[in-house]
Amino acid sequence: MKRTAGEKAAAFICDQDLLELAGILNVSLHQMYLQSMEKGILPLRYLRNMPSISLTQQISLQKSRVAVVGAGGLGGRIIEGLCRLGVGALHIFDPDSFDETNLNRQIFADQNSLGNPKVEVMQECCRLINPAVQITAHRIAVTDQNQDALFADVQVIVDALDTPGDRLTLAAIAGKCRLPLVHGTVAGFGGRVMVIHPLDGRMEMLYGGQEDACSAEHQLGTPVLSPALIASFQMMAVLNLLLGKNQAGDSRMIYADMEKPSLDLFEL
Amino acid sequence: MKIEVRLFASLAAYADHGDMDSEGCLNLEGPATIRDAVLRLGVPEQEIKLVFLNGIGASLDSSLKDKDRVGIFPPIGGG
Repeated sequence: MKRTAGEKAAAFICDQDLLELAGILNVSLHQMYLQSMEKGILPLRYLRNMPSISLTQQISLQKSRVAVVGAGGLGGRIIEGLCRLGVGALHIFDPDSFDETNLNRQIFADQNSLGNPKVEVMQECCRLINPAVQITAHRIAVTDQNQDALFADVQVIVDALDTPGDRLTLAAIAGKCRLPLVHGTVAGFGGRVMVIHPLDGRMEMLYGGQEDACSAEHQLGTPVLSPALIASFQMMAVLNLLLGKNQAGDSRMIYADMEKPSLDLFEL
Repeated sequence: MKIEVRLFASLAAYADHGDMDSEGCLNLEGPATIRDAVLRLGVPEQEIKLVFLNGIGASLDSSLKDKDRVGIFPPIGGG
């Protein structure tokens, strides 16, 4: 079918046809999506991404590889969102299984998933959301700077962790791998986002010397609103980096407080 | 001098201090630093992690002038 979509007329194709073609041509669905888009034929699932995300950008996303470390309140939403956006390959990391305290905010926590490993639940759910995304589930904690080999083939790392010490370790790994790190954190009805560049020392400014300090989230909790908001800002930062947008150079700290409400930018 | 003080996240509880006016501003006499301002408001120093002066990273020792904007954050680590 032919339709006009934003920047230019383009053809569209449904998943069922792509699946059949992938079978006939004996290629993966991931590869089939790429071949289709490179011929100017957009999978229907991305129709409503346009024109905010152009066909050319959608192709870039399909070729992109992102690591999300931590699959909790922030991580779950980021994994789900990057999958819907069409980021071609995701490496997801978390050693934990879902428990009842996750039900207030974590998108994949429900009666069925309780007790099951988070990354395995997410891998399964995301296959149903977008089977053209290659998801590699790592049911491990990233707590050692020597785990840098795990990030060898990604372009961006997302910090969706919840402990200061682990965040510092992840920043050291990102520095070693020369990769940008999209930091996000929440407390109460607010949170912050910041892109940390390799070895810029800013994660140390956020957490250095206070590995065991009592953080604001212990006093304010983390109701669902703040992870949902901050995860979206983190995804925006990932898109800016992957697509090489001008905004990707902006490494200011964004702090959003929904209760007030306010949104501020700070230079650190 | 009059300075605007914004206390974020768990520190917002200290903004109810009687010396703060309805616009979130504090009047300080003579030369003063950000530490003087937070002491006035009763914010414990050990609860402070990040300090900003007019939107740029600063320290508790930074000097203040009239109409400065101060932002104070506790450690935040939830995810």
